[in-house]
Amino acid sequence: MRELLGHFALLNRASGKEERAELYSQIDAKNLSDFTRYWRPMVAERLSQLPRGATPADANLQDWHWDWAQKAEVFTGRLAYRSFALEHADRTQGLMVCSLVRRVREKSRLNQHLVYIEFVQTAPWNNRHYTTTPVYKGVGNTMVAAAISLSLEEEFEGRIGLHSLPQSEAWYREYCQMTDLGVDDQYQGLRYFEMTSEQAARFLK
Amino acid sequence: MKMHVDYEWSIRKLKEDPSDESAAGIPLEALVKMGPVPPVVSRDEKAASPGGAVSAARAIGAVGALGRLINLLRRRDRLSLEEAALKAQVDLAELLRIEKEEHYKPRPRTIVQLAGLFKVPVDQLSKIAGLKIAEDPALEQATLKFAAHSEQLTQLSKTERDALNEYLAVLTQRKK
Repeated sequence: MRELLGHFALLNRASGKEERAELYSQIDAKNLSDFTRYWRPMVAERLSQLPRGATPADANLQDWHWDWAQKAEVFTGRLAYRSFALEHADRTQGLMVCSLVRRVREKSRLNQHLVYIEFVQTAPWNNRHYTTTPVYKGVGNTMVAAAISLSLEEEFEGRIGLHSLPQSEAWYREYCQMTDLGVDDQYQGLRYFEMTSEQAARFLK
Repeated sequence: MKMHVDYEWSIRKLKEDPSDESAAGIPLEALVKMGPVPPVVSRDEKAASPGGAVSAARAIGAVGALGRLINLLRRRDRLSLEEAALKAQVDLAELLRIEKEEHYKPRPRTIVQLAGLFKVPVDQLSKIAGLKIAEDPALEQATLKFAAHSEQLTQLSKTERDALNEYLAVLTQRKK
């Protein structure tokens, strides 16, 4: 069931002031509608501006292990997944989907359960790769905290894992202090990161 | 679910965060290129008809749960993959895919045959397989617990056997 998990601060980069965003435990139709109506055109516009052959992450989509139909099942409550949406100003500012059935790769806790972030994205208007004037900052912090909280609630001791997109590697490695387990050839060559329970506790301080 | 941080924490973090570069998993470009999102339950529909056809459209199956369940049942009965496929009269390759591929969706006939072989309710097995939809929080919880805590070992451990028996009890109770 969709539930308001709390209010968390986003920084309005224009005004320099914090604003209260709402974090929900489940992505719903309004969020997907926002994705279609507001996110999608902005991303498409940006892609159309890139030189031919320079499209970032122009992956062979058949290789991705999901398609939209599967994601829709996830969004509507498939058991092994949890989804989150951060909303503010009547817009979806961030989306995240986590899986509960993955296992730790890091040696000290090998094969223990963790919360795996299938994907986390901030709205394109908050992302400097899509606009020179991003609107809000702080989506990532709240989403990582949500993933850690989910891990604690599931008694996974705060452990999380994810495949970072290239532009975010430094954020996860240096700011979040996650362990970099190197390039994963089985996942589009993205680098895989994990956060131990100790690292999670530090992030939540 | 309880958040382990609060609003004050998020304000502090804003000051520490140099860039807010948090993109992970599937790139936004890829999500956009995949095409339109299928319709899902709207907030209004949920509120208006909690038991209606649309809001009931929730897949019970946890990813990986069906494969683990079949794997454990097969090993409980000391059957090889080939023996199980032969006894259930299902395709060996499909049985292998059920056990190995988290997202594989088996054919309805295969589920009926496997339910018969392992003597579990076909209706509940169909839900776990994602072939049927239902609103059953207790079964969801049991399936999630089972999917999250069962291990892939050569022989059933006591923990696995307990988890399997507990889950089978829930399935049987919900037989209709």
